[in-house]
Amino acid sequence: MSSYPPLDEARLLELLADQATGSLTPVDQAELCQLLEQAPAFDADVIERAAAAVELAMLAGGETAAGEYLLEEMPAALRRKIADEAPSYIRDNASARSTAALLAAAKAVSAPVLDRVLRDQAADVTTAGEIDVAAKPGPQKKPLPVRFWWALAAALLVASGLLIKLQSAMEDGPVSSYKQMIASDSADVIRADWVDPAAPEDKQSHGNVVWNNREQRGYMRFHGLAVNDPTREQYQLWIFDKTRDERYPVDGGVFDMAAAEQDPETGDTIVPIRATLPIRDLAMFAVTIEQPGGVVVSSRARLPLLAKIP
Amino acid sequence: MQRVAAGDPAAVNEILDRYGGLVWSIARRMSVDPAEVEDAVQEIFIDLWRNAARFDAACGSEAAFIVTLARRRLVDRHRKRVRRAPMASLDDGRLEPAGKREAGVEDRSELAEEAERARDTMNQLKPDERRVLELAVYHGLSQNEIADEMSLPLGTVKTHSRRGLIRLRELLGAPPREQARGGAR
Repeated sequence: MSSYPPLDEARLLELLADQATGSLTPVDQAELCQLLEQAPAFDADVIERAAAAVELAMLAGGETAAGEYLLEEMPAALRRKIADEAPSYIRDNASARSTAALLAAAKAVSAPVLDRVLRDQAADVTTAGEIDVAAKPGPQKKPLPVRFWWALAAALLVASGLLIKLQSAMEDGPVSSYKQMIASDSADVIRADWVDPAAPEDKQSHGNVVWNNREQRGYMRFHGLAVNDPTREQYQLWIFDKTRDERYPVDGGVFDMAAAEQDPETGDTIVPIRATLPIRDLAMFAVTIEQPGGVVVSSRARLPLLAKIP
Repeated sequence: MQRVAAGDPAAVNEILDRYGGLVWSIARRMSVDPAEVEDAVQEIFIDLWRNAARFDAACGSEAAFIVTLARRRLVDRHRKRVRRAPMASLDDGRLEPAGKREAGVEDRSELAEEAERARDTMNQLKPDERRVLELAVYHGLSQNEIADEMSLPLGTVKTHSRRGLIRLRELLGAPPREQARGGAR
């Protein structure tokens, strides 16, 4: 039961309009979040699509005197790069979909079987109750053949095994994923230790970073990195790629120490890496301290940790 | 988009043929730094490949889905930007698409129809509402800058912006015949 007042849709649309034009204040933003939370089924993109129509009308609407349709062309080299790198992301889609389909299939297999068992159990309880209370024989249920119980056991075993395997593959937390990756002997896996540029050499024990180049994902392990106040500052990861301009490292996302998962064995914090662009030739990771939300171009004024690829 | 979501690599080239120029053009208006634009465009397409399954033709066109995603990613990058590129004046040539090309017939039939429909819908707005939206959404001006540009009180700009987008949303959701009459749902 929700304790929210009735949804004020008119107000919600106003706030979405402000958001689409970049004029939402922090107070409005909080109100918008609250309203959207109140109406999870509401299509929050309705106004953005209207703004998209403005873009289309203005940008794609240009015509020559001859009435030809005009649009700026994407540079061919960039297009090739995007097309070349797309398959790995497309494969991810297909893989996620097939895993979800397998999971659904496993659930579909196990559900009717479990349902039948539960119904049978319920029937047994009811029948037993009737017998106990009335102390008179009722119609006997036909016993199920032995092969049914074998089939049931096998189906449950297969389905539960499949579910456990698939769910664990889908739900592995950062700690176990980090441990798997750091222990991997794959040639695609790259490891590097964090170094504090301001600390002496004998005081360097800050954790490490592991990256799988083929899968384009990785994890950072931090030992003793100070907990930040996310309302004042956030840590931001930068990934230096030798194929890109050194002045523009790839944004690896912002993170907060308090929100990250801790390894219960070591107390170290494990943070997944979310690179916003493909990393082709990894050179270095760097962690900076930035304003909440992070920055596009860091001044690198506060740079607590670096991890150079050996 | 459904084929991309299903993991069909061949669909990538079709999407790039159809919408590559559109995404590039939108990103180009957001920054004057070529490296920044290239990174932004790459990010947008990675987002697109990853979120292809979210596309629902019942909610809007493919072009609207892609532009929405592109705008969101660019706004996100803009918010994170430390240094801001100097604001170009409205008469500045940089606001106009550079390196224009004539697109193929197929591209034209897809995007031009979508653009035409968007323009028709925009034309049903009040002139001030339409102008405010052009300045806010396309030129990226703040409401204060629009108020100066149009010599309107800030509150009026805000009202035009909200009413214009909400009305546009109603018109875009209306059946074609109703759109032609200019009626809202």
